[in-house]
Amino acid sequence: MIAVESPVRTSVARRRGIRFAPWMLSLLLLAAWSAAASRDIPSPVAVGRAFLQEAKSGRLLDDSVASLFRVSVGFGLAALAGVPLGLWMGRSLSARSALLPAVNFLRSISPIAWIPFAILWFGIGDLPAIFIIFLASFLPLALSTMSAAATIPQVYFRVARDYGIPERKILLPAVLPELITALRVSAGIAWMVVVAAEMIAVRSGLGFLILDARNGLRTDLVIVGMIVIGAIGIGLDRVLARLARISSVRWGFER
Amino acid sequence: MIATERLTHRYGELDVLQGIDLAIEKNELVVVIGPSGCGKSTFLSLLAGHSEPTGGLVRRGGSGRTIHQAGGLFPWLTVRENIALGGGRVEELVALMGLEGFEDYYPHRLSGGMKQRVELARALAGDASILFLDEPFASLDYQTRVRMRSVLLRALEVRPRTVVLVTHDIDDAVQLADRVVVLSARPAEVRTVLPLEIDRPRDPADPRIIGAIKKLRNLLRLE
Repeated sequence: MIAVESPVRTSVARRRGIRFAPWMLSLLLLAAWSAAASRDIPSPVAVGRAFLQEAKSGRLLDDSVASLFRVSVGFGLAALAGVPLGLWMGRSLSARSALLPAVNFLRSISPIAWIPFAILWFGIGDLPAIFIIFLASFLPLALSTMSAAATIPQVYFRVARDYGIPERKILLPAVLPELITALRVSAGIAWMVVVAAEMIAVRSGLGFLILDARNGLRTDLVIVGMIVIGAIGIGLDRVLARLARISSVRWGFER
Repeated sequence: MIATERLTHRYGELDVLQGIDLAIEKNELVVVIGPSGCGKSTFLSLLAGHSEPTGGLVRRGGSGRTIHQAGGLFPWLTVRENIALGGGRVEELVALMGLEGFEDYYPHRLSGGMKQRVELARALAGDASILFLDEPFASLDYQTRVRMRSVLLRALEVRPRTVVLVTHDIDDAVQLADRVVVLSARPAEVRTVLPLEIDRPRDPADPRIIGAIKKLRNLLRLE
């Protein structure tokens, strides 16, 4: 009995260990942070107090919603434009050779560099921030979609021809698993850029919260902003990761 | 049903096929065999109309479907959905291929032999009168190969069709073919056509089968 049970018990213990490991590490980091707290590094207690204050006043929620709104619109537009562009570049050699140099050129320019033009063209408010977020995620998304579409096995197109299925009908399902991964990565980029985008021309959002806190020398609030951004980033990724559970894309994740 | 006239093909500077003349009768099962890299698959894709020859003619008297070496099932569709692409009679083909209970599986969850059966079922659903098979059993173990051959023969008994099967396996050829077409090394020409008028299923110990195996071995070794 014991001989049979003991390996099971170790594996349960191991699984528990794996589950608790991130929490243990967090506690350890928290302890290190407390020890390091000084005039330039606000203590976890101070940050916790600032967090509660901001949460109670409702500002934290308002800022999170404002940021999420801009990222959703900017990233949504990037997906609407980037995915079709990527599919086209992936399947058409002439489109690819015409556009790829320009895409690679623009891709290496940080979206931050566009800030002067963003303000010049779109004034102040949500639009310039949305534009920056769009720029940051549009090209990476187009490129990943392109490479996914360009590497669809030739055999699928031959089968489609034998069975009278139009090519466009197999394009999307064939790239979907890679597309989901690309969406996760580029959503992460979009969310990362929101801080920079909100440091211009807006008076709300988590990026503005950090900028505003810096101007008031409230380093505790800066850290509150960072923590909330990180937490929402994980949440966003978890939501997009759920797309991989769709049964018709499992093949791309289980090979 | 299918005829080629002086069929030639080149990839750039490389001559792959050199003047192949071949006529395939309706409901005939022709196995094309040759040394590896001789252009068998190119020949098949020209017959199937998946690529255009650089010279000569292909005439095809019906619609064809190809079963691919690499596995041509759409991984985003279930077994049932894949077979349904071929046309009606899904349940009947599922039963014929012994795929009951796996209808809602996705291909990546199936073994190599089962995937081949699904692909065969999909090709057999509907009314395509020609089947092109490109090394269909190459990735399967010996027992599964033997089983797949009899599955194919059974399906053809239920509904006869014209079949062109490309292989490098002599056993496939002698077990299945009405005629074996032996290609030479690249640039490929028809070296010999070997008729096999033997009832199926064929006994591997049949002296005519043993004779055919010897003959094909010698022909292929000469290359």
